[in-house]
Amino acid sequence: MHPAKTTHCPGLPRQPLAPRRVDAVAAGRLTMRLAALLVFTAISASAGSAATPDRGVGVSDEVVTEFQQRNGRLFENWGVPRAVLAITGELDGYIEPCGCTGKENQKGGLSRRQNFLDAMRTAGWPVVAVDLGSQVKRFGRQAEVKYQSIADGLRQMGYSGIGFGPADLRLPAEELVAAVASVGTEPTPFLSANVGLLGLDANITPRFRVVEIGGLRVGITAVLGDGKADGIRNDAIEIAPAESALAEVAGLLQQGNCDHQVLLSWATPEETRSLAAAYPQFDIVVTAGGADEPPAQLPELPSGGRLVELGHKGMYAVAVGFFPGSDQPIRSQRVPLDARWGEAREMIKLLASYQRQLESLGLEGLGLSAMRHPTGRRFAGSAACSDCHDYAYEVWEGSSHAYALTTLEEQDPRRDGDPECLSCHVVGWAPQRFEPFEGGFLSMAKTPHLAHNGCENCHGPAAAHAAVERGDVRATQAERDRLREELVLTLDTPEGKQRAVNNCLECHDLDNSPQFDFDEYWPSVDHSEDDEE
Amino acid sequence: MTTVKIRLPNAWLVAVAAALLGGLTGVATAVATATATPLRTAATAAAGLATEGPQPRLETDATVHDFGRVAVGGSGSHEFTIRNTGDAPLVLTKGATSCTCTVSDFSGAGSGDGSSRTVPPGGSTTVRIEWKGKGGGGPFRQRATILTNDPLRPEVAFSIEGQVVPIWKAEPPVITLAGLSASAPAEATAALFTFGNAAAELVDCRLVAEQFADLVTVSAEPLPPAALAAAEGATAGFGLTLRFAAGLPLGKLRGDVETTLRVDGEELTATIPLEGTVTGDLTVVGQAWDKRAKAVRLGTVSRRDGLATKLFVMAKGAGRDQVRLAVKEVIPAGLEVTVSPPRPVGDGNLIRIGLTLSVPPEAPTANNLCTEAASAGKIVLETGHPDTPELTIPVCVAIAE
Repeated sequence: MHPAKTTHCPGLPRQPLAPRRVDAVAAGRLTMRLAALLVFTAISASAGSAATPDRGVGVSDEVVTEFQQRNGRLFENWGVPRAVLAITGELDGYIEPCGCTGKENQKGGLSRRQNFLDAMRTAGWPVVAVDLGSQVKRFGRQAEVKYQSIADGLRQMGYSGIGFGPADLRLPAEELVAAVASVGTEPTPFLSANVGLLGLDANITPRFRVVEIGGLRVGITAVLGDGKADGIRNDAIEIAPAESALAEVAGLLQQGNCDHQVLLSWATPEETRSLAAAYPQFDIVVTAGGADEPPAQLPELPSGGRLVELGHKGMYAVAVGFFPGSDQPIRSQRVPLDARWGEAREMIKLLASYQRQLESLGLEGLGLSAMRHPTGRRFAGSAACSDCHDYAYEVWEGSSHAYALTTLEEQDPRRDGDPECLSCHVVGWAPQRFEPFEGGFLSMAKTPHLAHNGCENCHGPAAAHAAVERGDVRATQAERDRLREELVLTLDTPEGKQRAVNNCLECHDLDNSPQFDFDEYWPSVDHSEDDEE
Repeated sequence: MTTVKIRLPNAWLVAVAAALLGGLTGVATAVATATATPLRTAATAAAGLATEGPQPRLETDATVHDFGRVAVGGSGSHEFTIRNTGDAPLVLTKGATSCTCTVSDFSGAGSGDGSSRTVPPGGSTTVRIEWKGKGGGGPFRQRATILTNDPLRPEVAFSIEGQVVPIWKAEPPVITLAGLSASAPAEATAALFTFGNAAAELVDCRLVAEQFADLVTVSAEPLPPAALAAAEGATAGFGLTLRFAAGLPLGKLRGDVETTLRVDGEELTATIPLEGTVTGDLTVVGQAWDKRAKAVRLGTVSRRDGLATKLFVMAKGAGRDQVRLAVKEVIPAGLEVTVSPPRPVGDGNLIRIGLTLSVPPEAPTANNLCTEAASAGKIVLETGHPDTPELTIPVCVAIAE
């Protein structure tokens, strides 16, 4: 070994620099500590920056910017709250947004809701989630399966308080109990001060709950308004008058040393205001019965509390942030659940499971039985029309109506087992009742000729007409003319046009086709042709 | 050769230093982000962002208009005024509306095409919002957004709200009866409100149902004026009563209550859907009850951990007050069943009897998991019910160590 170069540093005694061996163990320790320093720095940097929750995981800047422009920016000037109350409700069965305009143009759904909650948690905000109730709107086996699915989803999202809406309480008690009751040692998130499944003393659900979040104690209870209770005819559910039930719970909550108290009131705004006035301890009061869209700011109650409306169909959430000690101790944000939130994998799985259950049950298992068409006639299928009406059939074949069922099959998860989707994507169903008519579509295996949204959905069942025209059935000229006349639609008179428009609106309704305008849409399906012999 | 000992900093010092360094970095980032130039909007991008020098300033007196009431299918419009109190041109661009039932347009002074408007300093213009009363009636609130090049207000949302009034409305909108008894009569009510200019006249009221219409009578009586307060703006109302006789067929109920009314000289039919179920007089309810399989599913229970779960037997109908449950037989033998006293629910049309299922530590092992290899267990109860003296509840359970 060559000796190291000797250097001379002024002020230091001269001594030869011998080769040095760095202690390997110490070097290893140093490396570990430097690595820990880097990791710790990164974590602290994230906490320090505390990014505002403005998007779901993986959503691009372009999408976020577009929806900020469409529906507004969120949480401006908020900073980091001590805790956030995330309030949802009135889902009305809209487990996901759907419709002809495309999901990206609509708001709502459990998937975006989960991503919204996760975004706040990822930003380091302590979140307590509550729901007003009304998970479903309809009755029957599909509504029961949907309610169970939604209840499972809300548990997965970590909800702390969920109330009951009137439509929920019309479901059979055995379904409600199965969906709502505690599972093992995990307490149920459902609660109500005045609604008792199987009786108030059965204690299936608690009357209130106090949660600790961000160092704050938040008391939560729910009531069903007296005006709404009157319309519920379910002997297995006991409903006490709202105010007297609330009196007892309010007293118990006062003993809970809560920093904030939340009342989920499924009642008209008038009745809710009356309850809030009687019990001013509730500083966050959530009401049903508002408009489709919540207001931008929370109105203040005479007690100083805030009144929260949620809108309909679960299109919005409302976030209430607590900032104790600041000049604005309570801030609120109306949150549109639009495409900026993306889709949550866990909820997609839940939706897929829901669709599989529907498919597995089938129409019979869902309790759907065919009902007689108002005209009494039966269906032939669009191909039967093509024999004579070739131009009209060609126009139909080139329109989106002709692959309506395919669009359900191509969804992920697929929706072709879902009666609420099928009713507008096949021939022979009552669109607004989600049930088949006699002779209507049953399945691709049994009734392939009735797939897609065909001619007879607008013109009426044509089996008899087609049979006469083909010569399969003998008929007089008068009968033949009558069968033809029954199927004619005309736009030449105001009454005729209105009849045609009403047919369209059966499926192109506000829920599924909010952009629909007959005069704009008609040219794409216009199949007017001269009368044929 | 000299061994150099590297003096390593104390681990806690490392952690504190990292936290301080990272936290300061993060805060600095947040401050920089918060004070960064506001989001560029379409209008801003087109007009050029003005953060220095002359700038436009948008002012408006109000952003919310309450239109009061509009009929379903009716429409209305309102103009909001926008002023430019800045010293640079204010560029306005039409943004999104929250519903196609609401449209915005520029009217008044300023230059531009239909989708945008430029307001000079000191000038003003108006935004006209039109809406249609869609839906089934009730509270209405929709929004139209205008994008601007004012860096302090890159967008303004104008909101119109009020009440959409239908011609008629039912409460509840659907008459639902879950779990009716086949052996006892029942009753359901609904209220029908009309919103014409004058009181409505009832012409006819009937139930349209394929299977059970002969077992149901429908009657309608005018509601007293005080009852109209339940529906804001109602000018008339009718209370509908449906009386179901005993003997309804088990299964699904479906029908329509059709009420013919004359409102403001026009005859119309208000249709209220009826739906429900008719079930047997003894039903089992509980978290472990599998309705589809009609069995209780308890899974595999460790006798070390034990089991404590609850079921309920619900009794309704004519014989409900005679129901007294007594355990006759339980398979597997290790499953214990305790019966609670019967309790009425609400008005007493339903009686609730609790069953507590438990597995004690000394229970013998068993396999009744309802598979091909292991048959179901059961709980057999004597009921005292005149028509169903014995109730057998299948149980799928295994008791293991």
